Amino acid sequence: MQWKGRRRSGNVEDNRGETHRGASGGGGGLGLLMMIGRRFGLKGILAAVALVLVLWKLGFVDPSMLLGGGATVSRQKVEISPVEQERFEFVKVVLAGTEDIFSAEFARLGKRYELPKLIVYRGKVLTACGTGDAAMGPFYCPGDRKIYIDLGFYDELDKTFEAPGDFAQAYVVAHEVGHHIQKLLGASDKVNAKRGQPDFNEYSVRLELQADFYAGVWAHHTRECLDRGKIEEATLSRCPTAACEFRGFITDCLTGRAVSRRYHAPLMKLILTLLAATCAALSAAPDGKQLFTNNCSACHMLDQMVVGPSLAEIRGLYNGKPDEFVKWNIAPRKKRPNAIEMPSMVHVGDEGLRAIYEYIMQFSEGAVEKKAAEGDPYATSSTQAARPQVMRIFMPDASPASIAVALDDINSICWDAGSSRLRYAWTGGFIDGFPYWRGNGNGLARILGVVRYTEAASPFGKDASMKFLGYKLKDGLPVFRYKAGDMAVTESYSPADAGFGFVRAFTVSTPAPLTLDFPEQTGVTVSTDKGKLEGGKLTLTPAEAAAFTLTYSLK
Amino acid sequence: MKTTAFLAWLTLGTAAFGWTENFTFENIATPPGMDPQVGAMDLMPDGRIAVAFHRGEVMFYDAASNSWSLFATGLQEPLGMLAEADGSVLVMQRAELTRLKDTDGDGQADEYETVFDDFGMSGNYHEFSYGPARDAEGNLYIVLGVASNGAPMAKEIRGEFSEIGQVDFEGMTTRETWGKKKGPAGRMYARVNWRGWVLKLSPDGKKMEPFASGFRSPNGIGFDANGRLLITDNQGDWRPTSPLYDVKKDGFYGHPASLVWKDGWNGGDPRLMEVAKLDAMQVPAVGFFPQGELANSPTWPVIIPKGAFPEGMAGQTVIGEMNQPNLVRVLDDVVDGTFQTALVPLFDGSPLGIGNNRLAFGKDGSLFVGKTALSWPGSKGITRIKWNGKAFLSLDGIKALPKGFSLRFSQPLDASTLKALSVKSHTYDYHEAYGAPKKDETDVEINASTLSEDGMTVTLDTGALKEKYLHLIDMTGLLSKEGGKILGNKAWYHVVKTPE
Repeated sequence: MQWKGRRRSGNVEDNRGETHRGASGGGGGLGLLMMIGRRFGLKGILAAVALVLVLWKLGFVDPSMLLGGGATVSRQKVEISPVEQERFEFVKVVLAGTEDIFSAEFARLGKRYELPKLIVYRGKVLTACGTGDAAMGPFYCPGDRKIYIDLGFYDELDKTFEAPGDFAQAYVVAHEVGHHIQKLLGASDKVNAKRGQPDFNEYSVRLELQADFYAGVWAHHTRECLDRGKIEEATLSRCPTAACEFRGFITDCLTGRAVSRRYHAPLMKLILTLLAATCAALSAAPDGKQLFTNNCSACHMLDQMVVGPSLAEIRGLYNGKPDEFVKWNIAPRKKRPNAIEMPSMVHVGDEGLRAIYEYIMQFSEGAVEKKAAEGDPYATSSTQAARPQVMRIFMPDASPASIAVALDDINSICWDAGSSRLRYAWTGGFIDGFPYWRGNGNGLARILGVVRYTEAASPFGKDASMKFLGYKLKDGLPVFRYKAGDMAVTESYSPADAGFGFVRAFTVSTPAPLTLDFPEQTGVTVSTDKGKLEGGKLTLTPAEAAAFTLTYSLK
Repeated sequence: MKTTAFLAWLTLGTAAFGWTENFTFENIATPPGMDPQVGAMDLMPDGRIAVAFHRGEVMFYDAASNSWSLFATGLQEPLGMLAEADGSVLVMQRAELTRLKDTDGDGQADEYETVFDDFGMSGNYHEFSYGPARDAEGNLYIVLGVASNGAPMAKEIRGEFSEIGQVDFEGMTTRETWGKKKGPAGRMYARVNWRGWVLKLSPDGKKMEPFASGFRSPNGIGFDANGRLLITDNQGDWRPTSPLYDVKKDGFYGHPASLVWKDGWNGGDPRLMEVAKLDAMQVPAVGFFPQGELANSPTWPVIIPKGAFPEGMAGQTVIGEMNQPNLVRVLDDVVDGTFQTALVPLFDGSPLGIGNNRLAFGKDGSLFVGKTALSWPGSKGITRIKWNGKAFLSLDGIKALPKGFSLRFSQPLDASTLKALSVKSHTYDYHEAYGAPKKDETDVEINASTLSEDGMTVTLDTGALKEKYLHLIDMTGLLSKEGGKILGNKAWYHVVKTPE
């Protein structure tokens, strides 16, 4: 769990200097639990706890260990080890987390969350519920609305489970906070009123499971800073989560053989029905995470801009401003010139958008925007470094069906497969295709050189009907094939022998003499090996047209 | 003893845990230094896997030697591929359908033959091209995505421009004023020829027949084992949630932008038509992927070959998915001649992850999953999934009944777990707005569930099913006789037609 650096609660009191004498609690049960823990791990302990709950209901166990007699108090200086101090700070962070989460949850219900105090003590402690003993583990006293914990409990936890991780450590605090919530919402008082009635024990069991459920709410909201394996351990063994991921498990239990055949089925069903009902009630409220997955996840990631801004950035813009967040989502506008405009989320509804807001703020807490990598990470790949090279890509000043060709290291051309003609030639480097490749094609390739020759129309005339047929590669250089009217044409390119320029070899099958347009351009010298090239017109006999070559020298 | 049993009870996992017990998931090393986003895949006749990458390389992966060899380079956004018997490869690029041929036998393509390019390109980034799929007669089918108003058109286009629309050519191509034009242009537009259409090509590519219209972002096309042309599309405008279509000649499949290219179209700007009129024209989806639950951006369909997965799945269709960490399995049903499907998650909760763009089965039955992102959330590289031969509980077939469903499973069931089954139904509004929430979501009461004598077929009596409703059959908690959990614990059946 990434807990360092997170907010610490100011509601933790240090009572470790106080020593109490008086009533004592029983340690035998804990010893037995530890033994089970060594043998079966955390799940074993939890299983045993569950078993005790059942025995409790059946009347074999009396859990009212907290109701002790009076005690005397004395203050002493205590030595606190660095490990213990770290745990002290850890507990503050966990409590702070529950404060934030449940304040928000309560606010959602239109209620105020009264923050509980957490008392860290050693050995024994005097509470409004009687004297607490470290052997009982952490507990909540409804009488003074305080949570009590002896940090030595974590030592036991460590020894028993061989480093169960801080999730387990945090979970026990969250479970006790769950009891506090029951006090605030009146559940524990209702159950208390049943004291002495036949179904009191049954409701006590329900109370424990409900506290676990609230701990599950905490775990759900905290999961991003929890190690995955550990939260699974917790969901498997104890806590149904707020997202009702556990619903399947509950259904298993409601219908499963294990429960109905071997165990006290009516009781278990009751408990599980209660859990399922709570779960259902909670899921009836909008689930921000699910709504986010449905509506937002295709375009927004945690820490980097994809189609839309990252959640880290959204947090920076809207944290503490849910109203503005909702407003934007209902009527989004375009903020960035290169990004697309977000569709309106009006269908999600105000309540749902607020749930998404809560989820984003929770999920993105502490997230840092990943800087987009500078430049093209694959610029040096063997295929991109290859010369010559033929690459189909969106090019400037050509149709979308363009082909960029690197003839060698310095000479390149742009061929347009849309109109089967040369568009331009340049010298220098080839292209930077990253503006196109880094996204989904919403960018043109950049020419890394100087365009030195452009052709406004096909040599066969601007009204000729052209049909592109593809190209062959000869030593990596392209031989384009097309039809100009009825004439079958090939046009192949290679670099000039020296300096800037290229060689353009044609084959044209024509029964009649042919005149082609090659308008003169300043800085460009063109020579032909066949026919006559005068005033930008090349005249050829059918035999000459069958194979002729133009050489372009570019200055 | 009680404690141990209790422990077992407590450690019953959630639904998705079992995939890794039955399948291995292995990431294949892609060629070093290259952008490993996968745009297309197919199995070559020699058993190698042909893979086309985002930057236009086509490479062959040889699983036996775990090595790559380069076949072709320089293609633009290849998003579909079909290996041919002679070793050549058909690839759909942005601008054309191309046949890559190695004529000199050196192992690399030296001929890039344009098979078909007679369709428009506006220069808009969202005009992706998909296909081809080949029917039994050798005809080829391609499908063309429409443009997004996230950007205007380019000044120079290829093909024809349609004057039908509220914005003229000047407006459609002027970046500076696009903020004001993009609304009336429509969320997705098809102002150059054949965008949003399926085109049928003769085997040599020389003859083209406009086949079906109404597509938006159809990132998946292929024939199923029964010769149906399946196309997936993505949630968005006119798409309440992502649909699966069984595409027939002259069908209109819901997204109106493409209608301007219909022969003799005189209905004006289709997005201004009455929605009820468009709704009456459209062919209903044979399946729906509920957004956020099963798939947000479904991808390519492939057929499960015999022996690759458990027997009961042979011949079924599997579809990829970009945003949810799972694939989708299609269960076919035919009701009085009407084809309709249930969609079931595959590998949900497994290590598969997201970005599952292209699928291809290898000769050994391995499923290769090629991943991409293209700046949307996704992933990259290739995951190879192999079944280890162990049987497990799955839903293998479904039939709509006059009053409920019949479900066929891969193994005999524990009858005491039948009560875990639950059914819900909902429908969607068809409208121009982007996506739609579930509408009229209702719990459907199961009056009775009966198990067949062999324990493998369950008949659910729910009363009459509702047409145009997506029915979720939740099987979480269902166990086999041996106590095995079901893998793929939900099925969304789209009822187009209820049986008589």
